[in-house]
Amino acid sequence: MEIDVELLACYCDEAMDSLNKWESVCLELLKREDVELIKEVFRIAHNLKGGSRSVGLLAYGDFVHHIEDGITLLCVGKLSLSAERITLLLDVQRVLAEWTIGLRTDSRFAPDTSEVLRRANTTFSIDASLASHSAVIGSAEVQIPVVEMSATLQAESSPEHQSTSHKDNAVVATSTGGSSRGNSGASSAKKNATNNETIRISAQKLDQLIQVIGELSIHQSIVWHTRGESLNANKVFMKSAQMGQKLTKELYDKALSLRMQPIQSVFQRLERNILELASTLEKDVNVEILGGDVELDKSVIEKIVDPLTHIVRNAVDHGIEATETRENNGKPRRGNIQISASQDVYGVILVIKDDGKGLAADRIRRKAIEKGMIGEATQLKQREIFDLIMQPGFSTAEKITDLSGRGVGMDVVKQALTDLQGSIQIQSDEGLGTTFTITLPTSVSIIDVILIQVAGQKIVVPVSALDEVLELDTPMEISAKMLHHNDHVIGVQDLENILFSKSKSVKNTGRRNTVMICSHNKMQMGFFIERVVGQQQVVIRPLSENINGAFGLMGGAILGDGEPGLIIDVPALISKFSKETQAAEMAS
Amino acid sequence: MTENDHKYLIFYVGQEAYGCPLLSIREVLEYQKPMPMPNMKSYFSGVINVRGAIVGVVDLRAKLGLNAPISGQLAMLMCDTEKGAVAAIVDRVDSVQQFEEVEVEKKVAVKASVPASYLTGIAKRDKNMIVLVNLFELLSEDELKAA
Repeated sequence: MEIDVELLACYCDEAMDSLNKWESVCLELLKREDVELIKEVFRIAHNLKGGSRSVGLLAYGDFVHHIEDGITLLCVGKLSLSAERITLLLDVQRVLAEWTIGLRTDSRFAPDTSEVLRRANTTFSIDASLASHSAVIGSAEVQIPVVEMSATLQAESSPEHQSTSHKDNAVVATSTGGSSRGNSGASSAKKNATNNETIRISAQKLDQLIQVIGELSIHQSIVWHTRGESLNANKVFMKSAQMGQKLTKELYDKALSLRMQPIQSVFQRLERNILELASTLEKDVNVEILGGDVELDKSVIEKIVDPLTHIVRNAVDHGIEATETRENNGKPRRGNIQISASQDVYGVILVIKDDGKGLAADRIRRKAIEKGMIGEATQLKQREIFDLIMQPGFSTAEKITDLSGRGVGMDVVKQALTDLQGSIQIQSDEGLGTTFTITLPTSVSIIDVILIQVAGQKIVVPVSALDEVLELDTPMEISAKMLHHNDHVIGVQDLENILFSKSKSVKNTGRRNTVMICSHNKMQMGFFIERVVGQQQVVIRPLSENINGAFGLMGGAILGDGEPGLIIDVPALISKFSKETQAAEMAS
Repeated sequence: MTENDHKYLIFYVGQEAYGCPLLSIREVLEYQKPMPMPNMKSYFSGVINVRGAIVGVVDLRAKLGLNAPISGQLAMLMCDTEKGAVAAIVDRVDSVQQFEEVEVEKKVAVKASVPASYLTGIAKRDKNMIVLVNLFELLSEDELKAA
């Protein structure tokens, strides 16, 4: 059967939704045993089977079919809902998710299912007498009261299906031999009925829409700012301009909100990760999830999965103690990890809180001294000590486990969050647990910036990278390499020289009295600039490939007056010049 | 071959007339002053805002090594290359003309200001010579970042 690529893409999207549901239902099943839930899994599996076969994914359909047999036994109570069986269903879900994702790029993709199938055969051990029960199983399927059943039952009779399993005889007998064409018609009619409240839109189309609206709002702001000059006190015009201003803003906000997605999907993955890791480590952990309906920009959601996964895996691996240890310390046997999201004016706050053993401030301090990160005598507040674990090259675990180690440290977590304009704070009481508080902007595409002037032109600097701007009483030579400020010596560079020395002639002597102090990874650096022009919010615009990647720039933006602006990449500048300084020190 | 395949956009850089295939140009823009961009090649003038998109600008005069004074009547030709849109500054956009194959001298052994690989021929009309260039290729193959 020829596979239609468009149909396949459509199927993959729907299958991923179903598989997410599969996952959440199974996680729920681990908490409470409910026959309605397992029936839900059955319905999902059944629809996946029907759907995959109707687009020509026969191996996929057969695999689901095989698993569905096992689920049927759980539905009718032939087998009990043990944790082992539910875990297997979760593993099946993972294989199917992998399969579905693979199919998006390669219509012939198929993962290795032998391992899962072998486990399914033992876990859902179906004894020899089962063949005689097939009639019972078949009727059990039909009894499940769902509309979908009637549509999918017809799928059972499609020709390619006949040979797949001996246990389907009863089912085939109950249906009336609809053709596979009839089946796909029936199932698509059903889809229309259930999906009329949402439409799928490609992210690209959405971005184009948002971009056009972004442009509109720029032009609107130009109209707004020149309203006094162009038409003197024409009331009708003024009123329309004002209304236009309001509506444009509303339109823009609404358009941006289209990209927002609830964070629940991420939380679900975290929960699953925690439970799986806990069972590998033979720890008993309860997961509590709050605020899954809080929304974040799609691009943020995609980028926080890895950092959050790292934090929760750490919490299970290093935070939560073994059950006996917990009992000996008078704690409840079962560890608790709470993951919550809440919205506040500045953005979204995520809190991951465990009741494990907490961080040992003394040990972290000792380790930092050993590694030469701080001096023997350095006095640090507790919070500053915890910040040390997010420095590159710091790890207190005696050995790297492949569970939370995996080559990614807390420094990478911090960097990922910083890249999203977010921040992270650690709070911990030894023996009682650790709390990670992460603040994220709701959207990454709009940022607060200051405009500075360098070499006579405007340059955009993200406020998040900026510590302060100093106005010096006595101007400094731009050839100066360091600056004394607040009892610290800070390296200083002339921004004009850094940015423009290759493309136009720049002076390398002279004096300036404005210094912009920025920091990245606790490293501070000053940059001479001409002056600060102003502050505004801008929409980040990616640069096209031919101009992207020039050193020192992270992107572009259209400024309020319609001119293009370039956003400088402060972290890259600081890393480069702090390295050069270190190299120079080494050499001397 | 459709009618448009033989149409060329004629523009001037300095005193010399150039032509490039009409269909390779996405649009002709009014000149706007580019915002200089750091660490780029010297003939890269900067970026402009084309209806919300940030587009790089190449100064064709500098690229072709001409030192002629700016006429004050500049225009920009925008091409969609595979690596993104690029606008080229030219002195003046003249007209759209159609050249029959016989009018175009394909093999020219003259040393033109345009590198031979981008030169597609010389068209003759009313005693004038028009240098036909593949502007799309010229703008596509550019590594704009300064080494």
